[in-house]
Amino acid sequence: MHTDLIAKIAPTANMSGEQIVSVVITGLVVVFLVLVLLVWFVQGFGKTFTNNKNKTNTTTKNVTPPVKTSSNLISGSLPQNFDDSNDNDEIVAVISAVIANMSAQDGKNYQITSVKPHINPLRKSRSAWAAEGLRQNTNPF
Amino acid sequence: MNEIFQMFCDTIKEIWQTSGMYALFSDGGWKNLIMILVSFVFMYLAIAKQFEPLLLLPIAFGMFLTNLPMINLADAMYHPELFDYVYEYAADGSVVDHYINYGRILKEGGLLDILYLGVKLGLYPPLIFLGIGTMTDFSPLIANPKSFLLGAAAQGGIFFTFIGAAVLGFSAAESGAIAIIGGADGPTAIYVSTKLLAGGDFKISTGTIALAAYTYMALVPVIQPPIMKLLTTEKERKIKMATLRNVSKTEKIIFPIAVTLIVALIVPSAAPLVGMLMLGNIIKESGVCARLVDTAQNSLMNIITIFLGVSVGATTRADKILNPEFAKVIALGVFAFGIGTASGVLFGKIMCKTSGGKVNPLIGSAGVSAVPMAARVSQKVGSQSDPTNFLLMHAMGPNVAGVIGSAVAAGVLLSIIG
Repeated sequence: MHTDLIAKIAPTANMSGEQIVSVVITGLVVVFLVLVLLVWFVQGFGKTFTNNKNKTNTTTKNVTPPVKTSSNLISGSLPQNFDDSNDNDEIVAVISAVIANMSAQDGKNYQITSVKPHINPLRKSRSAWAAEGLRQNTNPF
Repeated sequence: MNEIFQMFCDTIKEIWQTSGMYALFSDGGWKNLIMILVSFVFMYLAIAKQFEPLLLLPIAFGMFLTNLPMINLADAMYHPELFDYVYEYAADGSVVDHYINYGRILKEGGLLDILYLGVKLGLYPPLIFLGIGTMTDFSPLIANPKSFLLGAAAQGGIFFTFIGAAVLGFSAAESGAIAIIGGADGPTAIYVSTKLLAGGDFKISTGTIALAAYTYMALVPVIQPPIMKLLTTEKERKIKMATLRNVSKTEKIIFPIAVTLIVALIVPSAAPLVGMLMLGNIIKESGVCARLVDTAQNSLMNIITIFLGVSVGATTRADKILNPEFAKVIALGVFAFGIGTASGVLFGKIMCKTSGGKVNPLIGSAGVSAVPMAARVSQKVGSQSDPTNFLLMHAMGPNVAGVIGSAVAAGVLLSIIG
């Protein structure tokens, strides 16, 4: 479809009722047609990319992860294929290891008394800093 | 002694009669005075209220400069008569060709005439779009492509205003130029009105359209909320939308190429605007043209904004603006914005129903373009009903879709009328 094929209206002409209605209908149909095509296209390649990503993730998960030791994590030398997903147990283990290391160096005995999950009252998955940043950026008036 | 006194009086009289003050209070001078006062109001809105100051202030000062009365036309900075078409006639009296004598403009034109060439030749709006492209993140639209539909629905403001303009007695080109105000996109409005209002004796000018478009764009936070609240229920306004998925870099690079291809193949007249928008976006998303991105979104954008603003302001000469048609354009402009907002919200309601309540209809109003102000209005109205509801990123999808939609609508109008 090519809109230049539509009969042109003289710029200086006063339009008839039929011409006005045809411009409105043509305009709305063409705008929707173009944008619906874009919806399909973007949805299509979005699905393709999501599927590819899922396949890649599955392949990565099948590879046996190397053994993680507290010493190599503390020194900052992360092993290849290190899975940095939100694993709370691992984070607690790493923090504990750092504190144990600090105890050994200082000669003092540090002890972790409790580990509690922090629940944000506004939104469970958003930290206080992120929530405040979001509030400031979305409150322009 | 008497002769010296007479000479003194004659000189003073001549100085007075060639001064701007004399022109201001002679025939028609009051119109210039009104436009100068209007320019002061715009300067106030831009400086004190910060309503679109980057564009409104240069426009207001251009308006001020062009309405300073000059007796000697050679001193004027803008000469609209230089942009009149030169007609070539055949032996039988029929018009063979018509064109603007650009050579004469370069020879005799003032500063604002030279700057206005960028508007007349349709250069500034695509260059502004290039800069906008480097500043736009299409991720929300790629993550939720259905937002395109809201961007399309909000273009109803353009086409329904077309009916209103035609009913009020405007010609096809004038109706198209007025209707595009509903796109809520300044560069698109200037681009379309420049193209449509060329080569004919029209009652309105590009300056009139630009003035109405930018005034209403600045007033988006005032115009939209009452319409949005009127058309939605409290329950609908409280709908929280699911978090958008992450978009990969490859998707972001393919997107501008695909949009340009699809739009240019179907509506070639929209290619200059959409093409430049997407060029700006791809140089940003590629990540390998940092210097070009920096220039396009800062230096180039700022220079063009100054040139565009001041030269569009210069077209608002009192003798061209102050007429009954201007009042009609202003009335149709607010109608266009209102209808565009309502169309977007109503389509949002349809999507809300069809998706089982997963879409907040408030994001539909952002489909009118006016990036990012319209999206911020969606966020603001949503947060008034529920302070923990963050709609901004969801509204950015229809918002940037509206830019593409209004460029497509502009292409349709240019294709049909001509």
